Amino acid sequence: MKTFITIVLVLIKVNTFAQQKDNVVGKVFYTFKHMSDTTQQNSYREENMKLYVGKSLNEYFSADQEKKDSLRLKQIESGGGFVINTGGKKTTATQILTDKVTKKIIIKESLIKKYYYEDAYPNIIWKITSEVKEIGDIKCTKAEGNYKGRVYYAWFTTELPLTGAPWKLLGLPGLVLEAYDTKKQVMFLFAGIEKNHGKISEINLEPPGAIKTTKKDYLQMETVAKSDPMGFINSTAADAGSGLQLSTSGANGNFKPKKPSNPVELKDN
Amino acid sequence: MNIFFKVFFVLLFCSFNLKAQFKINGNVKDALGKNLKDVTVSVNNSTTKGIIAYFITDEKGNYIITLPSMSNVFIRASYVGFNNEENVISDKVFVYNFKLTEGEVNLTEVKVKAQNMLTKNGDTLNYNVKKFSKTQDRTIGDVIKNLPGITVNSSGTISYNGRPINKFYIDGDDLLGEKYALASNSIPLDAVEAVQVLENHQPVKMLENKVFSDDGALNIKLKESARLKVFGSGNISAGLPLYSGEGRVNALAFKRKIKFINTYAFNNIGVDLNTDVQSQNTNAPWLQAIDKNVTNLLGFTSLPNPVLPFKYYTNNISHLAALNFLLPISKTKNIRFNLHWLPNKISTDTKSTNTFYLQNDTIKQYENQISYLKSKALFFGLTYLNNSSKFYLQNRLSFESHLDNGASNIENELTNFRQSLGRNNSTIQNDFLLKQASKKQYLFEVSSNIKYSTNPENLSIGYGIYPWLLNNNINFRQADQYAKQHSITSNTMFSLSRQIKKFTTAIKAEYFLENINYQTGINLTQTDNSTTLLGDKFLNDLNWFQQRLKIGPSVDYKTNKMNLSITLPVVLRDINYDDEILTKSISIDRFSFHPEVKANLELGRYSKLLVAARRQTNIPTPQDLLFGGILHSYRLLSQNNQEVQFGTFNSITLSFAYRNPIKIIFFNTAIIYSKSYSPIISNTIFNSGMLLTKQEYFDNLSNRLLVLSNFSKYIFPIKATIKAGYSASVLDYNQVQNNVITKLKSISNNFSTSINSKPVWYFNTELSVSYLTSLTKNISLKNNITGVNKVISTVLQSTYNVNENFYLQAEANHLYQSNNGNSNKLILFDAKLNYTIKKTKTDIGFKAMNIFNERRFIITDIDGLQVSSNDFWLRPLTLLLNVSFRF
Repeated sequence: MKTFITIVLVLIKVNTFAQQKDNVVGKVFYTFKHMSDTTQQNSYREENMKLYVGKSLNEYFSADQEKKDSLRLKQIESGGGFVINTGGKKTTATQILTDKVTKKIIIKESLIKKYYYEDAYPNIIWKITSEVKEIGDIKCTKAEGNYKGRVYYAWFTTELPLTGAPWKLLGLPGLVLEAYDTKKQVMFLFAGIEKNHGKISEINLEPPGAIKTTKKDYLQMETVAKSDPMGFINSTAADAGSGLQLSTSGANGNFKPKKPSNPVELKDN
Repeated sequence: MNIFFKVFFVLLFCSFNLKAQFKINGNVKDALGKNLKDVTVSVNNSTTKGIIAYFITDEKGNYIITLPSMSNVFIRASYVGFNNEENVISDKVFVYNFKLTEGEVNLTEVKVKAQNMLTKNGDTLNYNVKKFSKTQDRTIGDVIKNLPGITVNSSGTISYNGRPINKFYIDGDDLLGEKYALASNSIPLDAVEAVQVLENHQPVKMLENKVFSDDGALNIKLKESARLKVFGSGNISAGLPLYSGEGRVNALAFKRKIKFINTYAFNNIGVDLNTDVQSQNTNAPWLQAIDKNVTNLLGFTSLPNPVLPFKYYTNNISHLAALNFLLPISKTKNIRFNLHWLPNKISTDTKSTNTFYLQNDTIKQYENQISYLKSKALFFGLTYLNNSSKFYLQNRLSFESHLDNGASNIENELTNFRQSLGRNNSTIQNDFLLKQASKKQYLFEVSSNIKYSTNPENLSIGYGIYPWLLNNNINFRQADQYAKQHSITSNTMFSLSRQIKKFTTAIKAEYFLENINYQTGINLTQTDNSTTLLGDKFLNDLNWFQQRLKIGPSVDYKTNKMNLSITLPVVLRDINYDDEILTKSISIDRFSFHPEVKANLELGRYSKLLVAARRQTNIPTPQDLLFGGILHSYRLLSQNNQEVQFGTFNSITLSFAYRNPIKIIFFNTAIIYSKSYSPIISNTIFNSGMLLTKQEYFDNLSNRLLVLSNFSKYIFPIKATIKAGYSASVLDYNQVQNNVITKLKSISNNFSTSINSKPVWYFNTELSVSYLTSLTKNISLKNNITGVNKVISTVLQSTYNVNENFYLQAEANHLYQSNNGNSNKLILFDAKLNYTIKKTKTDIGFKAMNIFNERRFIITDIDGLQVSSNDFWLRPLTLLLNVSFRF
């Protein structure tokens, strides 16, 4: 009975935010740098990220992942059977959708299939400082705030008619162009900005073809996938009914996910 | 003072408390009058543009913002899909409503191609040294010269976007003053984190944001590790020809309690050590004052430097020992100690033919000179500095001495003989500068400079030169010219200024005192070895005394976008001089006006414009008043017969500078027009191999148009910096030779370009080309007898890294010249290989210079109607084994 009520409530809640679509007005590019192992101080994992900014919705995702996906799609289109090579540069599949009006966050994940769930909207208390600098010729002001166990410096501006921030560093007016934690272990560096040229890109709060879920359920599924990746893939792939084969660049059967010693999120709050 | 500050702070806090509760509010609607929700309304500081407070409009489009202060701020409403609206906040208005219009998203598209290669933070540009350096670079100077937007000339002067820098800092400290090239050549690259350009740098802290400066400064930002210990570098090389070699050891420290750069260097392979300790021109040439120091009156004849690197044509033995210490006493105070000693012997072996194209005649002179000149330079400086936000005091005591002696063998169209030269030029001076700010925005400045210089000189010409002039046509053995100069000057300045809002008004008074004594004479040694001192016609004993009072107001008007400054001083001169030989005494008083106007305009984010105009009255140097004949060299005798004459100098400068740090583009151009008038002109009379100059009365007008442009850009795909420069000069002037006045027009163009690229880590290359043309037109005769002179010089240097530790380098210098149908060319090749032992930070290298062993080179120079064909000695093939180390 309790579960039923929860499901009903979740569905109702899902329905309330599932209607929105928005047109992309501007695209902001960031370079994400992460020192995943503090014993190697000068070694950073780098990834190119994109922030699509709409009037009310924003979407933050990995440009490298997007490139990888489009290459894969080409492979699929060119031949029947295909091989996924999970080796090479690690990219982030997680996409973050933000509704600035209703203050909601939707996380889009990909674990063979696509899932989405609602996440807590961060409530970062930002302290605006008097420090000012120019980033890419745009005058920015420095703010300081605590999020997930790290103290972040965010450089934001209201010079541009865009509102948004990389990752989940939300709550400041205008656009955050650069952010990093005080130890410079997690950095979002400004890499460019452009208008939405040509075809209209859309941000969709309810991604088509994705399965609605909750954060709790998804994380559980992820744990299963990580502890027994082959089993998880095979069960999911069998369900999908395609002739999928998987090859990993590591030792096949004994694939163990490496937990970063210095994750981006140090605490849950 | 203390009471003043206490009162000040109390008032300050009171005012904060009073102002702490400003509330402004308003409403945001769209063009149709509909309330707009979620609009960002922010209040920004007008100067820094930083956000102070903000509010996101509610359902009804309303906002309310609490502010600590309502002065110097503006309010902005921004919303996706609408145009931003801004409004200046004024003291008495508390309601600001906005009506936003929907519009095409107005975004300046930006693409940061290279993360953190060049970043801008306020007025500071940061060059990431790692990204701009090449494998073979060892010192910070190797990188600085290749940075886009920066040029370094052959004497080591660093310019940023076309203007020489006004300060060279190491970690914010001014250790070397204007003799900064030593730092460029001694700070190891791996100790540096970034090279920073501080635009509009005001070196006086208390004047920051008050007195505008349009100069840039350079700062070498060190790595944290370089601030902890003493470190250094060195190298030694030796090889063939026998006893060829060079060596250098640098010890550096940039610790909290002591900073030093100490260097010892020697070489006999043509490396110019003088540039290390040479004063770099810290002001733009067109804005410089014209007062000169005591100069040398006597010397050997010398040739102009060819357009070739110094190392190829210089035969030297040089040593340099330099000690530079900076001891911080407190955060704002420090003591600086600079000492250098530079013994230098330069030998020359030159041949030259000078042709003078006179109106009715062509005169040719020939000379073959083998000479040496040993000079010992000593400099000592002790500086105390207190540079705080309320107070500025600098005192510098310095001593400088140049002891020269040399000899030369001359073979010319008349005879051959030997001559010798001795000079001892010493100066001791003290500079004092005090600036103090007081209540009510008053600024008070006092400065004083006291200087004593002396320069005894002697030139012995070992044969009976010009007997028809000097010895009643009787042969004699030797002529000894002596000259003694003593000069005492003092300059005291007092200024008081006050800032009221955007205006700064000042009154400045400057009192200058000068006393110079000249004593010259010629001793002849007759064939019977008796000596005679030549009579009055070749004797001088002149006592020059000048007092000058410069007084006047100045006004500065400063806004965010522009800076205008007007200076209107009047100059009162009182000149007295006595000629002991002629037993005459002259006294002159003169009043003149020296106005100056300067305007700097910001033309948007990237560009600025400078307009400047000035006028001043000049007097000739007192040595132009010397009546008795002086043999300045064996060729040149001067004899004057004139009184002090006043000339004028007017100039207008228009310059434009553009810099875009995101795209890494720099461009600047300056047009300078100057007009000068002098009532006298120098007349050169040719007589049996001698050049006699006399000052004659003549309305001598000359004008000059100068265009200077520089462009540089970084090209991302090929990782290259390209630079291009263009300069042109058109000079209209008069020349008098053998009593005939000729009107001349000299036109010269210089185009230079370079590309410096490292497309892949294992290969980098640098190509630079300069193309120079010059032409002198004889306006009086409507011809250009000397023809167009063209010089093209090309340098190509390529480095190939076989692996991380081993590189090969080849360099080619090509020089081509053509003049009046004659042309000649020279190609010089160098090669180098270098192996790095990473573990011990040691390099072992082998270097070959002038591989094809070219030994002589002829280059033509044109100066007015004089064409010189100069034949230089070139350094032979040199092979060197080199070890360099770090500690």
